[in-house]
Amino acid sequence: MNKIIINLASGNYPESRLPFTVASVLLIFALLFTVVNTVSYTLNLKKISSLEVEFESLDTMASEERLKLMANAPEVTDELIRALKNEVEFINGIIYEETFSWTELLSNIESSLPKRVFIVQISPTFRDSKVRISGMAKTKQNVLDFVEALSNSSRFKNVFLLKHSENKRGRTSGRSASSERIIFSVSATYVREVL
Amino acid sequence: MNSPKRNGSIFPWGKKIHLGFALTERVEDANDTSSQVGQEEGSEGNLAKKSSLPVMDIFALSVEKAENALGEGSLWELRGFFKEQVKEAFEFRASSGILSLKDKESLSDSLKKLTGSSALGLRANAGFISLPDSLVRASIIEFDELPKSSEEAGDVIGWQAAREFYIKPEDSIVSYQRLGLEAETDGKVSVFVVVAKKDLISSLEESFSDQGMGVGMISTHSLNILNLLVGVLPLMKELSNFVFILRVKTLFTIFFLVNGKPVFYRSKEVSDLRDFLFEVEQSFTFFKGKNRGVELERVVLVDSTVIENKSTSILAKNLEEVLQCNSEVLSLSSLLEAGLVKSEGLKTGGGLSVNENGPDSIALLAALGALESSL
Repeated sequence: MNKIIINLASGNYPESRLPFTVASVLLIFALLFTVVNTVSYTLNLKKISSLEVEFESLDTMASEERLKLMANAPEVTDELIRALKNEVEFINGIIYEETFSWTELLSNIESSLPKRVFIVQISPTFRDSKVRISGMAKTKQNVLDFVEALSNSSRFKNVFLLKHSENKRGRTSGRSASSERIIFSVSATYVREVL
Repeated sequence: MNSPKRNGSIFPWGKKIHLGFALTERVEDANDTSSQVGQEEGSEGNLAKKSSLPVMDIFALSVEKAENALGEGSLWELRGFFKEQVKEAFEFRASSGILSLKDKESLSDSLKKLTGSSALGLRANAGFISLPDSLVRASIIEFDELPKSSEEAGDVIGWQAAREFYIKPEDSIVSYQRLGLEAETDGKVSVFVVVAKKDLISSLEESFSDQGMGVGMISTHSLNILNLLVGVLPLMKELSNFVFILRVKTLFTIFFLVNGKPVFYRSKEVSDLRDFLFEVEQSFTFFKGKNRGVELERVVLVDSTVIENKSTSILAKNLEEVLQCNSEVLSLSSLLEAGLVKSEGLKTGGGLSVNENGPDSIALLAALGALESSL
């Protein structure tokens, strides 16, 4: 026979243990996670401790090596410093010459050159960036115009007219006119373009 | 018998503790019992005639469902069995003839003592309650037809039950089970109906709820013990036409079953063995009148009044004469001996001394049956 099931209870009751089970599983996970973390922390502590010992040993070795190097290093004198300084300046000068752009200098002088002024010689001194420019002009005014033009250029500073002289030519046969030339020399500091 | 193997997982939350509860009523003054007998069911009801306020014993047990090592079936393994007494918490109302609860606090206090302590072991989330048959009204009602909708059918059954038991539907809780198909009952629908007072059921549920427990099932002693026997006793599974009788002191409940389905139910107070046998005979006559040609195979009796083997054999012989079939008198001790219920806790549970053939053993079987019914 089958059972006779009579239930006078009015409602359902919470038979499910799901919430409790879920909470228990979560608790187990939390405990496992804690255990794993604790083990990991302990292992890391040991590793950190061994690394600290290693670092200390390396520091000691480095200090000893530094002391050895200092003991074997030559004595630095003023004379040695000066020699090194000169050597550095010499090398810098070579680098400066090698990197000097004549095209740029000529272009800058040309842009400041008035009419009736002719350049005969350009002599740069690389060590102090001085440029000496010699040339001829028709009149003194032309020379002064050239000096002024150089002074107004951003590429030239401390422009000075060092000397000038007149050079008169005599009458030539069949020609009545006599000509006058002004020979001049100008000094300036050349400002190189910084790349 | 081999030691039982537990169901469930090895984890504590997988171990299912079942809590079964059984209520038994008794009258403190034994002399008053003489005035309780000889009343028929219906109208005012026999319970309404009781003059003394009843004492209610609440039994609680914790069990684990176990299976034997050979996997040949399951058994209930009793872990603990405890009792609390509730005095003057119930009263009989002449209007309904059914016992009502008048003092919910007393009931709650007793439940608190039972469930609040660690006596029952791990807390369960629900209790399964068995009520004495005297607290409910039950009957098998036949309907020409019932609505197909279970909700509408429930209303019809509830209305008919209220008519039959002279109670107000709004004051009652009705539970029922359809018995068989219409084809087996000449097109009629047979329904086993149990009705209880709503305030009693509500109070029980509230009391359990106050203790943080739900109520999984509320049924009667007779149904629960019948279900228990069907669940654990191989003999019961083989029987088709038989009689089941539960006798608890002065109250007896009788089922006649044909093809494994109840066709007649009766619950009544009796005064003594003679009266008991007379009422059984009356019931049998009524049954035979409606079920001509049905041969009963056996009568199964569970009796709290049988204490000695001698009286058991006399009772069995008397029943066989009355019902003209073999008899089987069962008790807690016979189930224990057969290994169908295992109990180490019976002797130690809560310090409670359970007479294996006494009323307490019926409460224990009923509480076990409540759990069996809930499976």
